[in-house]
Amino acid sequence: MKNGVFAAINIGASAFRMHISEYVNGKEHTLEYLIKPFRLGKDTFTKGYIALENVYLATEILRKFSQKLDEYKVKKNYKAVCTSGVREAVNRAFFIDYIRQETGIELEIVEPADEIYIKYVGVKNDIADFGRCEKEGVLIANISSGNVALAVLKDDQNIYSGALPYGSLRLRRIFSDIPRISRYKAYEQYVMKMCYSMENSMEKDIKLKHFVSAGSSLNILLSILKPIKNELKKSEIEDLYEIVKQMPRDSIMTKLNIRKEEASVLLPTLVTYLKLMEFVDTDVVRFTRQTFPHTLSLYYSGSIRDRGFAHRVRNTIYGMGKRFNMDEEHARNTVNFSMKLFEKLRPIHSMKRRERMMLEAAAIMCDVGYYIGSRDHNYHSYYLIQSIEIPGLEREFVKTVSYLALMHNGDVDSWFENKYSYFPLDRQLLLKKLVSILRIADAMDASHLNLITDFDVDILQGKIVIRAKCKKTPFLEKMAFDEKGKIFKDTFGIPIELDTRILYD
Amino acid sequence: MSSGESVNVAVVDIGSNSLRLQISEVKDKSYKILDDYKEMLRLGDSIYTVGYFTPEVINRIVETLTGVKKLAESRGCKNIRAIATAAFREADNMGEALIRIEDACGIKVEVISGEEEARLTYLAATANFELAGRKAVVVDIGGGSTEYTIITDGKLERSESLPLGCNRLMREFLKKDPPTSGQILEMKEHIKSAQAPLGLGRDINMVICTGGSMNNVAVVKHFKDKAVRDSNVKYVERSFLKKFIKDFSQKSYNQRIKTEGLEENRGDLILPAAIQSDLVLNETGVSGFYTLSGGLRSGLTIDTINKMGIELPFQNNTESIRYARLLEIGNKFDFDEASALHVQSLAKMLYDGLKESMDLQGRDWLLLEGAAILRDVGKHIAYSKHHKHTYYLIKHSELVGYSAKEIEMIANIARYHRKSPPKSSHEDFNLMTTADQTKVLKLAAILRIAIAMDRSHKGQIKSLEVKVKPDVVIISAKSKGDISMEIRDFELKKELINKILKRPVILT
Repeated sequence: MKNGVFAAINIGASAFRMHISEYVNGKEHTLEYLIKPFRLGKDTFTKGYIALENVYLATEILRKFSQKLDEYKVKKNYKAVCTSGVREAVNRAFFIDYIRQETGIELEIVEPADEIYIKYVGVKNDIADFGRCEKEGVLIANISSGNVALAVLKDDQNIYSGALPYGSLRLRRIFSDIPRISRYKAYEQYVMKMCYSMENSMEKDIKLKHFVSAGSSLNILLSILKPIKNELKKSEIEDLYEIVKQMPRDSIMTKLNIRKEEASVLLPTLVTYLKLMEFVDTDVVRFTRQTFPHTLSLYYSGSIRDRGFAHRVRNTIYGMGKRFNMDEEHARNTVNFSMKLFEKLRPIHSMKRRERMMLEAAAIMCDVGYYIGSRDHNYHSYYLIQSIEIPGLEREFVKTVSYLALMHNGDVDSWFENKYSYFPLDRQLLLKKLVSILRIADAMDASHLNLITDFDVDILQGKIVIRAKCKKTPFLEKMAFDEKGKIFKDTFGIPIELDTRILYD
Repeated sequence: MSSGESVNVAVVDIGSNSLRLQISEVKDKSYKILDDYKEMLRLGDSIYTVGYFTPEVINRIVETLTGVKKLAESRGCKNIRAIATAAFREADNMGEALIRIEDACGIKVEVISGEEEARLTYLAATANFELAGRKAVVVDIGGGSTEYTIITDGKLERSESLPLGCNRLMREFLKKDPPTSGQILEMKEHIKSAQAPLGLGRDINMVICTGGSMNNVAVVKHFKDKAVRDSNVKYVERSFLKKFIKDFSQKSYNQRIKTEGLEENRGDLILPAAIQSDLVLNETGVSGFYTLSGGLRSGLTIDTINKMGIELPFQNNTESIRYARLLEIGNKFDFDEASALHVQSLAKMLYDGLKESMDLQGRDWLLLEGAAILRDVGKHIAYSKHHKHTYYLIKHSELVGYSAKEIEMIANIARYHRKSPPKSSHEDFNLMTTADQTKVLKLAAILRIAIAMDRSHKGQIKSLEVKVKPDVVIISAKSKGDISMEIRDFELKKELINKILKRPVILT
């Protein structure tokens, strides 16, 4: 980022935080960090909305934050995000609008997938050997007041990601009327359910090795356990848990010298840590001391990056394809053919790296719908792709890939005439370009027999010829090519032909 | 094969009209079809004219089998089980053809008897229809022969193979295009006299017609109805069949093939098949027939799986194919079977205790049962929004023993098992009638509290009793362990049922 001051504001479920940084020649240093405890999520997690009196109180806090922005002469150079406390409130739009009117601060809601992604990028840049952890299998948990956002990575694949409603304040609210003496059992059972949900959504027998934690809940543990290194031991957490599990809140406050709000959520926090350590089967949890607003500042100012993102997305998509039982060889053929066509047709399609990645993802996933049923498999592929949530991957990207899968077979014209006619022309054109290539690539292995081994593309005057080398006459491929290739001419204004040559029989 | 592992099996059915390949993945006690491939070889054309396979025909078979073998291998199938039916049985040079095929492509084709054909079709029928308490006839119309199978209360009673295949009938009787009424009459008499010894009586209350031609009749109807939802099992009323026969009897081949949904290669074969089916309906007095796509080859797949030592759930539970299929679909999407069954049993106890006060009856329990078992299958796609994924998977899985409307209702009950209620933006819910919407909400309300009562997934609540009083409903749960989680969740989930019953519901 350019030299200057950048502010990040986080409206959390139990506190509002602000981090002001100065960037000089690519280096960041913190100017000020503000934290104002305020349980905005208390309303959201019990009533479903933010009561008006709390909207007023939140406005007062943010008015002071706004003054701080003025003090540092920050006009637009800030990012203010809300997490579950606002995100899940039915009157969130009113809240955001009211804050804008009263304080001038433009709030944005950060979705759970984005939240965990930003935390992930923060952790990745802060923990020295995180690359090794990613290879060996790591659970990253952002345990905050509202949600526990989880990401599981192994072998450069995003195995799982999700934000589950098990944050410490939420748990405290849910079980507030259970007798204190047995409340810890309810927390244990409830958090086990969270682990069960996560386990259920992952492939069986995935072994993890590392557990990395982030999130507001961590601060309480740090203030109590005061670790020197950036790690907490299971035995320390267990000992603490044994001490406090049946203790009244006031006694916890006194004994540990912590605030009332912190004492209220300590027990669910400890349970969550212990159960997740049990899930990973580790005795150590590593963490970063970077706060969320600090990470936000680094992320939005472009100071930290996610290296290897494209590689991980590709691996993750292949992993999903396997989960849905794809024909791996056909998928790889379709990818190879579509990538080669993309490169060879560059003179006419003028698309870039991002579009290439979309095409590759669609080539991998276009047939996964067979998992649900062979009839209308393209609809099922469309549906399954829409369910993809890879941290950091934009929704628009996923949607485009799903449209391509939907149109990779069947009557493509009718999709454009009916379903996608409302899209802006440039978007329609992009889809047509990509789907034209995808359909040809898919047709070239229509029999799933890998009959076409390689090809060249000749862009001639008035036509394009794909000269394919085959093991045998690819009857099905030729038929499919004729049918699927029509849109290519309509899109690019030039017919495309398949010329096959048999190498051996 | 150990638990969790999967293996792909390939079966080939060489009929008088077509050669079909089916590739399925077998995992635990469930299988799903990965690929269906068809080639119209029309072997009957050769057999019912010259009586043997010409060298050209044998080459065509070899070429096609070589192709399907590669296809099967590409799908990871190590072996192919191939069977052949009437055309091979009747070919003068059957032996020569079999040797030539095995030499050329390494596939040993098993020529099966008409009775074996009937048994395989029976296997397919029992996998797809609720046959308990019914007397059904399965009419599998091939190109050369037709297999009649009588099933009583889910058990195979008897079967008979008759030389009434549609290709054979067409060649013997319908020699003009379009056929004359005299030719049709003569064919009808021939079919009737062949059917007579079967004694198809009025005690038969279900007719299932299989084979490509009758499936194609159902497809034509499907197109005519502009139906949206397609499925393996279709129902065709006799009134439609009669109109179809009348229409096709007057049309030439070229006119028929313009019919939407009709396979060009069946333009001539479909009429004798339709007439034969109509004569069965006439004899039994049944008002329509079911079709089942992939009848013989589905049976062959099941039989092949059985030969691997695996018995599928619906085979040891002939009482309820519907129920077994629910479990099979649950397994396919890796559901937690123990939890699903426990919630189902809690839902049943709640349903029995509340049905009168909620005005629930008849098949309503079956809807709730389906939703209770499959409520979480969406988690197989993703935990996030899994209720929506559950809706999609239920709607697109071939549930058996439910109508399309009922499947939609089950999908909706399961979709609303969590906290969010139906909204004006929920198109699928809004497309249902008001009465169906009300029923869905009632059943979803029961399902929600049944799920709450097993919140810890430990099956702590073994039984319960429901007492409906004018001002309150009391549910008394019997448990051995700690049910604080269940009580907590019940409190969170009871709002909908309180609203429907217009009185508080208390768990003690």
